[in-house]
Amino acid sequence: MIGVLAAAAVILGAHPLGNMSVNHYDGLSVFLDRIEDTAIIDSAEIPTLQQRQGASGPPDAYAARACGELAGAVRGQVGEQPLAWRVTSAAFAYRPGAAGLPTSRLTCRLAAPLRVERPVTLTFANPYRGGAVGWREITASGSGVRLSASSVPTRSVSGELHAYPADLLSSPLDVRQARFTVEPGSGGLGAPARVPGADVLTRYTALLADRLNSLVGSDRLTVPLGLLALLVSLVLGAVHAALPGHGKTVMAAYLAGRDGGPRDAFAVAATVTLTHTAGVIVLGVLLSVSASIAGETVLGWLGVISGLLIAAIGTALLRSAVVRPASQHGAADGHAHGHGPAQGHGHGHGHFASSGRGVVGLGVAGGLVPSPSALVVLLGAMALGRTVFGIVTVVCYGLGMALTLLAAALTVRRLANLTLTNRLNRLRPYTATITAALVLLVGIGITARALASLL
Amino acid sequence: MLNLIGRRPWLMAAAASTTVLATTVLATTVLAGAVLLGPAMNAVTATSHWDAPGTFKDKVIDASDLYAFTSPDKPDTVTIVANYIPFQIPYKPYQFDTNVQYDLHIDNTGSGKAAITYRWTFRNKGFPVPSLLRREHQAAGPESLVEQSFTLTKLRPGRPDQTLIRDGYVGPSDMGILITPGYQGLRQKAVLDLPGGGKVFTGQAADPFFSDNKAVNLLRFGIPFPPIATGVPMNVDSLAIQVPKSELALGGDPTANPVVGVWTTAARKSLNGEYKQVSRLGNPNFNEVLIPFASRDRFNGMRPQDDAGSGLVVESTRDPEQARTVERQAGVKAPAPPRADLEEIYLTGLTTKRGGPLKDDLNSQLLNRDASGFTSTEQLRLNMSTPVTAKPHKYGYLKGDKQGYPNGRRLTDDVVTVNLRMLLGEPAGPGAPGLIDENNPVYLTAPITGSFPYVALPVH
Amino acid sequence: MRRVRKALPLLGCVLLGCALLAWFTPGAWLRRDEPPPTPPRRTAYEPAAFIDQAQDHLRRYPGDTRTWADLGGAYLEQARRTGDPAFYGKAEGALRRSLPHIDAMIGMGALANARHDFALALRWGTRARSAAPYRWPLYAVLTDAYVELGQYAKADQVLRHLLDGRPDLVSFTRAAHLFHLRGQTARAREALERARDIASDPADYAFCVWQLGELAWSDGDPRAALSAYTEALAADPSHTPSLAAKARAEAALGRLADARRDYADAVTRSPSFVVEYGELLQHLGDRDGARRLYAVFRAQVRLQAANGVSDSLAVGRYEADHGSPAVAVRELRAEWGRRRSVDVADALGWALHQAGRHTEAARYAAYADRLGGRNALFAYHRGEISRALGRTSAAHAELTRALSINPYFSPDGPPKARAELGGAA
Repeated sequence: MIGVLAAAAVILGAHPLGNMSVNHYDGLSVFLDRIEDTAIIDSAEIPTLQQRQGASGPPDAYAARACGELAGAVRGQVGEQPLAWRVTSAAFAYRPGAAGLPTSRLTCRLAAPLRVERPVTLTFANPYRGGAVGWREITASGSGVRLSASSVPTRSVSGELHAYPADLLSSPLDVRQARFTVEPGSGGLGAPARVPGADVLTRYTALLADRLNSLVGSDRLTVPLGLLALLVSLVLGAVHAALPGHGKTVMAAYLAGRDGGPRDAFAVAATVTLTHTAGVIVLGVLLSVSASIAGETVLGWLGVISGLLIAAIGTALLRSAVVRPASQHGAADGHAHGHGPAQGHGHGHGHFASSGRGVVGLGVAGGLVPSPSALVVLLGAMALGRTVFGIVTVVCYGLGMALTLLAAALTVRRLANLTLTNRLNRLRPYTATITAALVLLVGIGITARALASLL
Repeated sequence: MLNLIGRRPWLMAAAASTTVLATTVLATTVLAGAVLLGPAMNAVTATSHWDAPGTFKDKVIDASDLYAFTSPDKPDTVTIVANYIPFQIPYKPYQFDTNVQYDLHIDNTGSGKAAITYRWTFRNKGFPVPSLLRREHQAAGPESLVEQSFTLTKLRPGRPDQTLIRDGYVGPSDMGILITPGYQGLRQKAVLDLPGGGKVFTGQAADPFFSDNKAVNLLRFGIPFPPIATGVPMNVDSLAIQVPKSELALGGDPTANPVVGVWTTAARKSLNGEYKQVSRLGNPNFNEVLIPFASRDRFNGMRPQDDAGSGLVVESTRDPEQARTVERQAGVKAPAPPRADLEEIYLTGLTTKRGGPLKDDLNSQLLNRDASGFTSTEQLRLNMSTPVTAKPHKYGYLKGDKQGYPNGRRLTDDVVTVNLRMLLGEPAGPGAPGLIDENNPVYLTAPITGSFPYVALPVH
Repeated sequence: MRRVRKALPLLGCVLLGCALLAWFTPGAWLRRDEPPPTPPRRTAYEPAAFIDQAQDHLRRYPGDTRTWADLGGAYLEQARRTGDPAFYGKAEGALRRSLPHIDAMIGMGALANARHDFALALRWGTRARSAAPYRWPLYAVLTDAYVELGQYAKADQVLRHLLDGRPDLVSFTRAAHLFHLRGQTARAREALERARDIASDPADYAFCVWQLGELAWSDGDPRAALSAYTEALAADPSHTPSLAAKARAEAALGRLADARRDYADAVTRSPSFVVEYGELLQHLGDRDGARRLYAVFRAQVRLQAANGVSDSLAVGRYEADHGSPAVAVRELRAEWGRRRSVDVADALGWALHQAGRHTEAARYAAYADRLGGRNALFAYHRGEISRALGRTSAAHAELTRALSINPYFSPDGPPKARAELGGAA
């Protein structure tokens, strides 16, 4: 027992990567006006001793000098322009190591001015003390800018050189260079706002999406695995539709305000599924055929189209509600809603020029913006030669979306019926106008948001 | 059949979901191990000792595949192809070892002793490859840098050695149009006529190996390399020879003595000047599947004539370990040992004369009228009198295509799947034919050509 | 709502249909039809690529013992090549997972050799031999262990078996080492050249060329040695032993600035060369610099001790020259109890001489020469011991021999030897 404890104590003391190691970490953060590098050097016992021998004076002086050397050694480039690094802060501290010998940690914060006005490619390399054995890690993230095509991850797997993974199936990291593209905007790969700040729903969806990807890409895709993949995609679709930006409010309000009945709701659901599937497939094919199409931009524009479509429907609704208020149904009719199929058939013709077109329009608007995760699954499946299975997965995904939208619409409809009968019966004559206005507003909102992400 | 489909997918699904679990458990174990293993896990080593390479993959003597078939365009000749130095990356130079004898052996009596040996030896015409590797940035040097020449000798016991080719041209590694322009022409230059009829080709070619991934994984699971997708476009160096059947047949009479056995060996000169056999290949997968892991090095150094008395070859064939592994992995049943069927397939050839389970006079040297001294040996046996199949089946003999593997081996035979199915009991019993989907689109990496040397030009 | 309830089974049917379609359609969509379109540009013959592939494979099939053993071997090779000791821990973890696979036993033996536990290496090698007598790499483990343990006859026997079974780079390099220990320089060179011609990988190539350089160096040809080291570094710039050896050769040729630069670079990569560099600095009069390097060596020893590893041979050599000869004698006697190699004999003889026990020293110095190796440092040590014993003519002969074998055998030894020869004449 004592032996084990003693051994454990020894372990805690010794540097996990060997007492000769000099371990480097560069955490790059890109802002609209500058790039910052948190450069950390974790030196094991022997290099710490060597550096102590060479150093004279207080640790602060050493830190300043060492960070100055490091700033002179790191290389960064924006396009063809070299970055001019300067040291903004420098810190140095000893920490207890093995055999009574200290290890040390140098933390340099470097910054270089930068203007991110359009997409630019950034390259970074840290050759400082490149000969020594050790861990070398680089991460890159953005704040107020969007990172894409990054060769390095956003988060440090070593906890910024505090906890080195002891996994038998990973080699010590040896990343000495990074390359990525930054552009104004938020989100995208590497935006910190999206990773830690994401709501629970998004985070779990991401986990599920990963699971789906690994299912579709698994070596031996068997029947139970295939079914599981389809189920996961259904759930993912449902959750995706539950996230903001799909005009659920619109759809719900529209279906509630119109006396359409379940039939219309199913028409919407079918349209959503079809549109989404078609959208994902078309976009997937486009993306796999041409490397020059930026997926994010296409998604943005689809968002704009979707918003405009909803706004157009809202306008049409509003016009028909304002122009022909006389034909508005009375409260007595309202009680009959949903009571029988025959009634349902007769309704709606007065609200909008053509009920079919309105319903389909909403469905298209709801399904037009392909879900990125469905897209990823499809692309992955295509790369593995499982295109057909990928498409089936996407169909299930669309079905999942439709289910959520349906559920939302039916719930609102029910609630509306209850509320209306009880208290707000007086508002009944104006529901069509209110619905139409709401649809229009949401349409404008979605358009504006999509445009904002594009510009 | 039903049982197979019913059980397998669940088995696989269970395997897949346990992978995640196992990974978690593994990670935990490893973390715990880091503490419990104590000083041993520490990154400290002493340094004052002499430290030389201990693991070394010797690819220049690594024979990846051996083919032997009646030439489809010249049915009175036989083509034999031995591929060495596998997994060559395009645009990198590779060379044969100049201290190695690369041999193709022909046994027409079944004694395990070669009646004819074709021996290739090589000389460098430029600098050896390592000096070029070091100067990759200067790789745009003259073509001669990577060139070698070969000598082909025909050896027959009791007769003087006959040098067939001296200073023959070796088709070099295709280094792209800058260094090796007009590669098609270089390939043509490397196809040489043999005195007394026939042809020889020595040089780089696209690796013709292909198989179903699943078959490879099942048959070889847990062996040499972690998964290398089969049919990956890489190159090999081929030793190919096309000779009249009469030259190989016992007594020069392919009608009376139509069966020959073939294997290839590589022997390297040791420091005392003696050549030591370091690699041997006859039937595909035989050493890596039927011979137990611990004895594979031994098999590589053995002569076929010693197979029967070795206590290894016959015993391992009768009771193959790997059959049990595949049973476990795939949830199928292999016939119980002793496997007289495998013995007949790999060690004697198919014949009715030994009372084996496969009642077909197909490809045993016992069918040769004048043969004597027959013994059980592992070799790739070809009946040269089997007519060329118009539409060859990739599963060869298993599908009634008598000209296909294991009656010799054609470039289009999916030998891994055939070996897997034979391991599971075909063609003597029902086996497990559904294990590998027969309609799978496995394909040759590069299409073979219609005439000698058949193997395709190197891939890029 | 009734409609919804009616529609639900319909939806279920559609889903089921999707699934069944995916299952039963001939040509099954559930299968990967083709390998991924990107062809790998690296092969499993390259250790780094092999490690990636093996890690990937083992994440999916963690039960594949054979690949764990292969991965352990690859980690070991990577540790040897990069000098990154993190790989040793990984190697041990992977090998332990795959025991009692034959290759895991061989790997454990190689690991024990790397950790200077030669007796343990011998046990692993012997175990492996009884499990699989035809698995050739085990004989390399045995040869290395026997050589370091000083059991040269057994090493020869095992190596002969290895050379008969598998003449390749592994056996040729071991053969060269034994030839060299016996002073058969030409045969050693021939074996190394054969090994070099087989090496298809820059790191293996660098190893062989470095060893050729070491042969030239110990034969007193620093120029040839330097060009060999340069060639080794051109093949594999990370080959630290070649870098340190290059610095040593540059110092011998008077290119002191180059020597300092290369040594300084080498000691940041590996602790093995600090004493050697310190001795050069001391010889050049840079006492502070030397003291700093010796402090690094002592720290390294403390760290090793804290981790239960001891390199008594290195400690003894250092203490004999730069520390306490008494400590050196203690360390080396203990080491002599564990292994009786010519290196330990020479070091112990020299330590005893430094501690003033010349008669006993002479016995060990004679033992160090028993293989007939051409080692200038051993000869110098023997000469000094003879001189201390008053055997002037023997001392004269030994010192002359030392200078004739390699007039650059250490920074301060040759001038001393020359002075003593001059004084004696």
